[in-house]
Amino acid sequence: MAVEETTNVPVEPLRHEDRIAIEDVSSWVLRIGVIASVLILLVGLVISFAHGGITKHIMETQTFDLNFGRLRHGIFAFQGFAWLEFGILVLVFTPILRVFTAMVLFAFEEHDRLYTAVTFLVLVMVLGSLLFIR
Amino acid sequence: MTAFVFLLEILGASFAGGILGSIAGVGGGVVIVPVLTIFMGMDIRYAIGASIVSVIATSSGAGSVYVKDRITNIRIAMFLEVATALGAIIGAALLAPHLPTSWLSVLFGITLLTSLIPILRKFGEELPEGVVDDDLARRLRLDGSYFDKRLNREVTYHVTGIPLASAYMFAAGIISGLLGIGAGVVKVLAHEIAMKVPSKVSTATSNFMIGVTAAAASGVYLNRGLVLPFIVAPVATGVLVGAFGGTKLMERMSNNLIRQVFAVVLALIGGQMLLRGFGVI
Repeated sequence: MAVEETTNVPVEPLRHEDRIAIEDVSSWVLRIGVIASVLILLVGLVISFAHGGITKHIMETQTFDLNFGRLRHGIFAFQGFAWLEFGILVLVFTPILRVFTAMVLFAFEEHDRLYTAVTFLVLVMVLGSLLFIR
Repeated sequence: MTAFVFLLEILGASFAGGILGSIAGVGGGVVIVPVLTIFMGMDIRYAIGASIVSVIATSSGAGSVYVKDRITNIRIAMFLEVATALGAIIGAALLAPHLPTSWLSVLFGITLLTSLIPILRKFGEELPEGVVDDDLARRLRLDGSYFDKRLNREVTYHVTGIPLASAYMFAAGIISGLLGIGAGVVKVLAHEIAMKVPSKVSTATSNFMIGVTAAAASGVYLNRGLVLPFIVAPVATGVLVGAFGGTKLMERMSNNLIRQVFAVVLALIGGQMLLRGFGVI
């Protein structure tokens, strides 16, 4: 009996440890996303100010205007403004990625259909509002 | 050189916004928008555009800490995000072109100042007592627990009022799409008044949710050319550093003190909305 008990005890917590917690994954997604975006924004600021010619007027008038071709070119050409726009995109997609990873974990790790559907609905609405509203 | 000084001023104000936001469960627009408009003379639409994008940084920074420390109730967050995302879409796409924001600001300001009353009544309460799960909360398994670093024990709590909380969240979404600020404050109200969870859970769960609402609402601001990347960069940086610092404070504060900080934020946003509605700012 005593042997059986000692062999049974460690199994439960170990199995629990193996489960991927949605809390931990969400935390990492948010942390990596937001730190990456702020670093990219800072690169954009450093490049812009290093080039000079940035005035308060420019800061208050140059708006976000997305054009993927120009953005890609600008990032590789190390243009400050392109890096700023890129940082904003990473920032906006950080919480969306968090919803997506939660959905995947609810579906395949927790096997929770209700919350898989709930997170799917949120994902569709957020992406819809981002892509189709003009 | 003035541009650089301007940058540092924005950074400092945003740092304060991040600390306050992460403690009160809001994004920090309550500090950022008035500083950019009143003290720096920026057009309010651009100030709101910078604020709404930066709310994502407060939310992600503070949210990542609270969810790792298991203070956030992710089931509440995920479920109520449906209502708030729906509200954000309807607010931004359908209502924004037709509603005058001036009387809307007044209405919202009055609503917030009125909701100070139930919050003030809860002053002195450290943990909610006698809360009984409602039917939906039971079926959605929303009950939770967290380790309170100040009380130095595990706190278990019940959740009630899900239909009312959903209505609050829907309204929070509409408001974030229309007015740009105040979505976090309505989410905390939903937790405090409708669901009656401990204040730390209110702050943490609201912080976790506002990123999604802000992301949904930011599309409109990005598309309309109301986001200034040179302003967003220092605001997001300041707010993120402030938010990380604020979480350290919040986890060691009492629930009662957190509620008092929130009451101040509530009064400030209510007042700002009235002033905006009457065209003062």
